[in-house]
Amino acid sequence: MRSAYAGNESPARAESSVGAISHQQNAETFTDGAESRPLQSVGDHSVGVSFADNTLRTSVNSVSAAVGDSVDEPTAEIVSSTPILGPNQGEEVSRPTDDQIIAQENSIRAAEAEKMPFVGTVEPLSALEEEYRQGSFVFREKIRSLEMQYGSMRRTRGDGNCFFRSFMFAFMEKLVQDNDLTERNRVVTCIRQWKAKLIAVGFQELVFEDAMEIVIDQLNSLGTTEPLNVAQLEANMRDAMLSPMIIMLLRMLTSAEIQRRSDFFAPFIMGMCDDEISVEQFCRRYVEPMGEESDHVHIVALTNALQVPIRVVYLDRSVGAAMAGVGYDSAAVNHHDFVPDALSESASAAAAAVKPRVHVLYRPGHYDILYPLPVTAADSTQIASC
Amino acid sequence: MDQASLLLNKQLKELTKRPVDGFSAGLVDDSNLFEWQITIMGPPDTLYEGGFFNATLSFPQDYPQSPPTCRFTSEMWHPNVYPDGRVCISILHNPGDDPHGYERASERWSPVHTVETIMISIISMLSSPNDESPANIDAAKQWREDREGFKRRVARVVRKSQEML
Repeated sequence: MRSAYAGNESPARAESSVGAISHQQNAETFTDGAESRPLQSVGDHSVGVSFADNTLRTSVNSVSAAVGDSVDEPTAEIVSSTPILGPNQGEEVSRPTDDQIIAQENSIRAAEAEKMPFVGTVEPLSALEEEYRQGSFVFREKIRSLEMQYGSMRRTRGDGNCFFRSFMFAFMEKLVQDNDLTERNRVVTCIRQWKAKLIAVGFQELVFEDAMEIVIDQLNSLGTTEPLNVAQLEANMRDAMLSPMIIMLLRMLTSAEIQRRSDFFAPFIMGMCDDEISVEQFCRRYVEPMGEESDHVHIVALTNALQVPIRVVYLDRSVGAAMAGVGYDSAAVNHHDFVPDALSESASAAAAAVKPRVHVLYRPGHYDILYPLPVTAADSTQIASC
Repeated sequence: MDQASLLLNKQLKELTKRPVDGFSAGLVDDSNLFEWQITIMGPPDTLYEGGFFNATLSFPQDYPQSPPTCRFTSEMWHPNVYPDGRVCISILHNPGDDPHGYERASERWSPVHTVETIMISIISMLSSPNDESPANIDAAKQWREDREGFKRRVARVVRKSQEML
């Protein structure tokens, strides 16, 4: 298997070293639910999951996982559609050239891109249920449990930028829908303040100023006679030029936040990477380049950079969390709230009440947007916290 | 104007107004912002000192999402420059596009790069060849095994570049 990728193992290596850690938080829970799979296959978990973030990894890892793995998730077709790289072909048949491998990976990426716009349309959560109809009991139970909290979802393209795109779309959409000018004013001020901080970290102004203006212009249209609406937001976020620019800005903010607070982030980064890399190197390799997946570190940094609380709901194979007073609920869905430091420190008693502005659904390797049900319903059923 | 043109235009103006030490930059043809003509001064205290090396920088339509390619048009002798002049450094590769497995731990392309940062990387490449990822195997081998021969060969391309001025 290795030999087929000998010259090209770096993307997968780099990704799985990061990817595996990103799931660290879930690592122990994975083993609970992962049937006979050993812990080190955490990275392989993404195999068979239907999001394109994993497509690349799928093509590389599929060999080990495609065979005999009870694929809970619905996309065996991606796995089986990787012709050159079959299980034993690497050794016997002539090895594909590096260029061929890259070309194939690019064609998989392109094919995946065509399947899915950068952001999809709102779908009822039942669509998720349908997707896992043949899936494991745990998934189906969890989706049912999820339906008590969330009414609908919106998928994003699995191109490695899905966290940033989900975040920005969900944040802006909520602002637009609520016409929340207070929050708008706050975030515009916050983004403007980043200009000096980005320059201080070493970014050239010309690389981010256009993107920053685009985001601020969209935000500033709220409250005018021609405010941004959801349809326009969708169009912007699906635009081949605008969407990447917005992602790029968020990546720079995230990178700058990590570098500004490198003392805080360094231990996490040290724990994530096999080789010793500096905080700056981490940012250059895993934060700034487009398509590099987001981990816990990225989310912590972004939530603080923009002071926006985020809830990540984990849909994975782990068997639920213990709920106080309720005992062990196999279908409980874990979530984690990312609360900006300033909000959690300002009034520790009130911190617990910080309401997430953005809800995203995490399935190993991919993020989509979740829409909570109206408050009354959500209050009655608390989901377990990690 | 599309995003790529806007960004390239800004850089052209900026570099014209405030040139950066070590290289000069302009367009190959004033009507095309995507093809740049660069002259790199061989960095001081290196084998390439005194040379004036011409190169072209070709930007894709989706710059800065994707990297440009850089090709020396002057004769060059360096482990990380292909015999046809193409420069092989990790930041000019997209994440994922990696013909050389050994680059796994290196920095890839990201949209933060500009003509200036790319040139700084290339100048740094001239100062310190990386013989673990050779684009020119013969040059890498000579750099490793016959440093004197390598120096003579580089001295020749430096002289040639001066004659071409």
